[in-house]
Amino acid sequence: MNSRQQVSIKILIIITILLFVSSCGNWGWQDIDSDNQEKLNIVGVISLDNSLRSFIIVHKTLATSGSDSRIISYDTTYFEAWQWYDKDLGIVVYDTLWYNTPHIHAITESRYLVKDATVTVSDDTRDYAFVLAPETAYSYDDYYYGDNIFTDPAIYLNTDGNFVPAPESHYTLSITTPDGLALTASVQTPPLPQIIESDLSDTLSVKRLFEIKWKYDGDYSAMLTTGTKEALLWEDDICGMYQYGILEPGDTTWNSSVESWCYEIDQNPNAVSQMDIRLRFLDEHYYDYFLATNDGAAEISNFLVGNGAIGVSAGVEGGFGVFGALSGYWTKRVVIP
Amino acid sequence: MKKSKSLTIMVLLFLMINTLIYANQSISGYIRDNDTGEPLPYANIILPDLDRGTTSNGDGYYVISNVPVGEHRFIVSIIGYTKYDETVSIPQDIDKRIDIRLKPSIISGQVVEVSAEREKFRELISTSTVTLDRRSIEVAPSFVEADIFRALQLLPGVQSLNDFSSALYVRGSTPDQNLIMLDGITVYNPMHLGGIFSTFNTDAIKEANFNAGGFPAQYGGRLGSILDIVNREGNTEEVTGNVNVSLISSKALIEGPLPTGDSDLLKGSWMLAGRRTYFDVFANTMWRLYRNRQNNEFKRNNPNEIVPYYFYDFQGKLNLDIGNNHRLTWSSFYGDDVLNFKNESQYSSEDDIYNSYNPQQNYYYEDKSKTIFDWRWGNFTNSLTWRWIINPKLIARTFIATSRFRFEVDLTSEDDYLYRDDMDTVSSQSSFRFNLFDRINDQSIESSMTWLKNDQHTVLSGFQYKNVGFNLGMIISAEQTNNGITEQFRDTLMWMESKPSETAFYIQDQWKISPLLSLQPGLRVARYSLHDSLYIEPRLGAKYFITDKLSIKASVGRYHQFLTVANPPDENLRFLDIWFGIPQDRPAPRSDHYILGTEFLSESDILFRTEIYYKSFDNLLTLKPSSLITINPEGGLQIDPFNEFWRTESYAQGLEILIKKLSGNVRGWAGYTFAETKRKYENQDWYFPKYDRTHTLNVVADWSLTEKLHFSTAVTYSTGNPYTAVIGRSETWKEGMNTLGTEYWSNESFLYGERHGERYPAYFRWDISFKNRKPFRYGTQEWYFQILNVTNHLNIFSYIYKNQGEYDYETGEYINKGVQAFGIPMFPFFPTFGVKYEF
Repeated sequence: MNSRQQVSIKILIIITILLFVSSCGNWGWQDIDSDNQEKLNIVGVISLDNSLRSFIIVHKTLATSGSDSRIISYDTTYFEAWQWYDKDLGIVVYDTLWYNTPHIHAITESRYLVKDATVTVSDDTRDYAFVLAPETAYSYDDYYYGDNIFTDPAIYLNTDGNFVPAPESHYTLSITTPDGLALTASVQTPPLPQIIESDLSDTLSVKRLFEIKWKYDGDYSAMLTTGTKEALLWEDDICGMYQYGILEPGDTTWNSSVESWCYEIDQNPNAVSQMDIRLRFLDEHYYDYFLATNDGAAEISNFLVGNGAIGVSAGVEGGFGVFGALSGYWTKRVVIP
Repeated sequence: MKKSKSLTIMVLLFLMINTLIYANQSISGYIRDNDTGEPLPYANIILPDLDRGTTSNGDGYYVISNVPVGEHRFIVSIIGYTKYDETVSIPQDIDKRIDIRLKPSIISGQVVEVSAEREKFRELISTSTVTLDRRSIEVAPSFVEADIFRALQLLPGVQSLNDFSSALYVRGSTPDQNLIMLDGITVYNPMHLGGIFSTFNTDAIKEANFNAGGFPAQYGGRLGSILDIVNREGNTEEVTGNVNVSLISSKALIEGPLPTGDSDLLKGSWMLAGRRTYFDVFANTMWRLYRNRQNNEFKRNNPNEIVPYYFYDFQGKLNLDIGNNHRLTWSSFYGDDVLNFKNESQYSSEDDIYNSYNPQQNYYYEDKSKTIFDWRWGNFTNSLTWRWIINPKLIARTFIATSRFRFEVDLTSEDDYLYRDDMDTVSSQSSFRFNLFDRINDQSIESSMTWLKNDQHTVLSGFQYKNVGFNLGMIISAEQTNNGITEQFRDTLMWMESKPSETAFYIQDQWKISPLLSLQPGLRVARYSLHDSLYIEPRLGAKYFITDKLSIKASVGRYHQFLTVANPPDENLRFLDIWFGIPQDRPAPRSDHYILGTEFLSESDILFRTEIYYKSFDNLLTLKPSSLITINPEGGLQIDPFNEFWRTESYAQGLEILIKKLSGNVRGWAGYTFAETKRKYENQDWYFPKYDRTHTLNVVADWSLTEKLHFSTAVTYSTGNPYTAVIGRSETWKEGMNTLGTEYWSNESFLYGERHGERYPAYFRWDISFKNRKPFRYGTQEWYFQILNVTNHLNIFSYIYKNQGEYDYETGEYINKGVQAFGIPMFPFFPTFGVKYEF
């Protein structure tokens, strides 16, 4: 190797070191910014099912930066500490080593909520105001377990009692907010379903196939659910009574299935319960958003697939979410194992 | 009936054309390397007193026709070899056969390449063609060991998706649109280790001819590019070989002459190469040594092996010359990737002796379980080629080949349970098996005729018949035996099977209209068994010399493809291509290529090439991703066959500049690519696919620091790949459909922006490699040391996002800073080394 080559190699090594030092990127989590404008994101359901009141939930999207919640107040009386009951001492012991100072509990609220919207539902003749529901609008009395939609702090209801939706009618929705967000939507309510009660035995056995038929063969998807709204004691619960099916437009029959695993568990052979049967007709927005959309794909990061989705919406213009409609028919039957 | 009629017409037409051909008085023969017997393409063969000449073709064959009777000075030369200069006598009405063996001069490897490039510059009409020999492949630094696909990714017009993938994206074409051949055999899914390595062992490669577009009529069935890899023929003179040991694998190659003695009738050579990764062997051995020193509980709770993956491949080639005019070549490849692990456990009441089991109690139970996961994928190819020199001007080549790709996942789980007490004995055996497979069986037959009519015309015609069987399936089965009573269950979740065939006839003429102007018109007519129509594919290449150093080239052509893949359209990782034939109710995907370029070869052996291109793609099929798994009316999962597609359009356009230095101490190339590729699904907007990179600059150099020491480097700088960015946060609402309550709830989710509307930061990577070669006992030894990503530049593979907060226990406040992104890096700073012995 001659001296010229040796010099060249040295230069190369120096450049390498300089580049190495200068080009190490930012490894780790980074904040990201976007100039994306906030939009309304709603769930509105015009319900012709007696068990569900028509409602509009108004939320919005958020930009990438900033917290998704805000502090609305502080609970100065709340004291949080690690505590346990000491059997030997017979008292509750507080850990003052790790939590040696009482701290203030901040009460936060989601920034997705929109509580100052003007929400109007209209039919061909008049407008109906939906207003932010008071906290007393919901009750757990009717239901024994969770996720009650009426607990959402940004749910809007028609509280003057004037709004009585009709089947096979067209409704529009208009939402505006003081900070300029706006959204419109429309929906066509489905007809009222009707189960043919005469074709259904008074007593059903979950270990025998049974068939539920209904009238109407229009262009609406349907959902049939069996179970009970009551809180049953363990010995009265009957394995296999909780079933559901999603029916294509035009279907007028649903067939039950027999859950094989119910044979493998011990249950009271003499149990007798009431089974609620609910048939719902769904408009296409409701069906597309809740039942047909492969929303999992939209949530997958671009790690493998790389596909993006602007947002999921059905029947909504100017924002995201769904404005749908459903109608319901309920009946009861005695059910035995 | 209709199919066989079409085939018969094609064959008859082919034979009729060839019967019109007749021979003239000529000189012909092969030019070979004297030491190895390898053919020497692009050698100059000159009759100076007649001012006539030609060059040898890819097989080293040449012919000069219409040579007058008498004695002529006959010169064969190729830089790097000693010149052959003799006087030959041409008798009346006899075709003279002269096979020449040239002795290499001192630094053969270097100068042969120069000569070949210079002759190619003069002879080749096709645009966008690059030939890489073994040395060029080995020059380019790559992950751990040399790889032909990694070298190709450094050429203009070839894009890579990321560091983890060696798949080739050529001028807007996806990897499934590349026809990749090994000795003429189509190879499907030519990848090891999920695409990190290509299937091909570089030690066995003689050269690779890569055509990025506008390829001639003899090639078809793909829309994008042609990669024809030619294996070494084997040394005809002596047994030689090499062994290559790198960090993850060992390779060996041995070649030599066939033991035909001094027979003039039979001569030949053979080559055998193999490779296996051994990281699993090393890691598992170390693990077992550690595990054996631990207690029984540790052994019971930990597997025997921790790295259950390896791959291996073998390549073989055998040439047999029968007389002067017949050659049989058999070529084969076998390779597999294997991911295999087994987990066994055994448990009985006696193991519970320190807990609840009381030996005094008269009961006993035992449970044996075994789970075996076996995933294999790989290729097996075989071909037999018969080359027959019918007369000096007419060469026939007949080729039959089979190519199989299989991908099989087999999961087996078995459980054997026994309970015994004073009252009762209960035994239960259960087994479960899941089998997923994708199998491709390609059977091909081809026949071609090359008619070296005169100095102006070389006509090539032929037909190809290809039958490709696709079989994709998913099966589950289970068996349960309780006290001797057996129940069985078996369900075929997915089953797709088809066996379409392709038939094609082609003809092309390499027509030297004048010393300055050459044309290469061609026509290919193809038929696909599931479709009624014929697919007409006109091709045209043209070359015009403005000066003897500067030429203009152009190519146009139409191409069809009769198979496609079910891969997601914009995946970040491409582990595997799932192939299937174009359905009967879908038109064949089509592409039109338009290419215009210039080439300049300087006196100092620097080649300058610029090309602009436009490619359109129609009737592409993109599988709808949501239709793979759906929910049936009963609420269960069902796997739909691949029958829902988006009809997809695409186009690609760009400018490429290649500067290639062919000789001297420093050799290599610099390539710049400006490219734009867009795709569009039906009823959706145009978007940039994942592999689109607007600007790419590659510099590859090999510097002979001394006679023994080489330094090579590769630098790549390019625009980042597109990705779909998170632009906000939203909530997605769910409904409790299976309950009777009013259950609705929301999940926080990300709001994505325009599809591939953003790009990752610019990609930069600098790799270096040192090689030191010196004599070692019976051969030579080469040490090599290389560093990938010398600057440790953070090249983003993909982003993952989070929108998580944490509690500040001092204030009781939940702190969320918003959406944050983490860039998953590609290759960081990564040194590797290895050693190679040649004997």
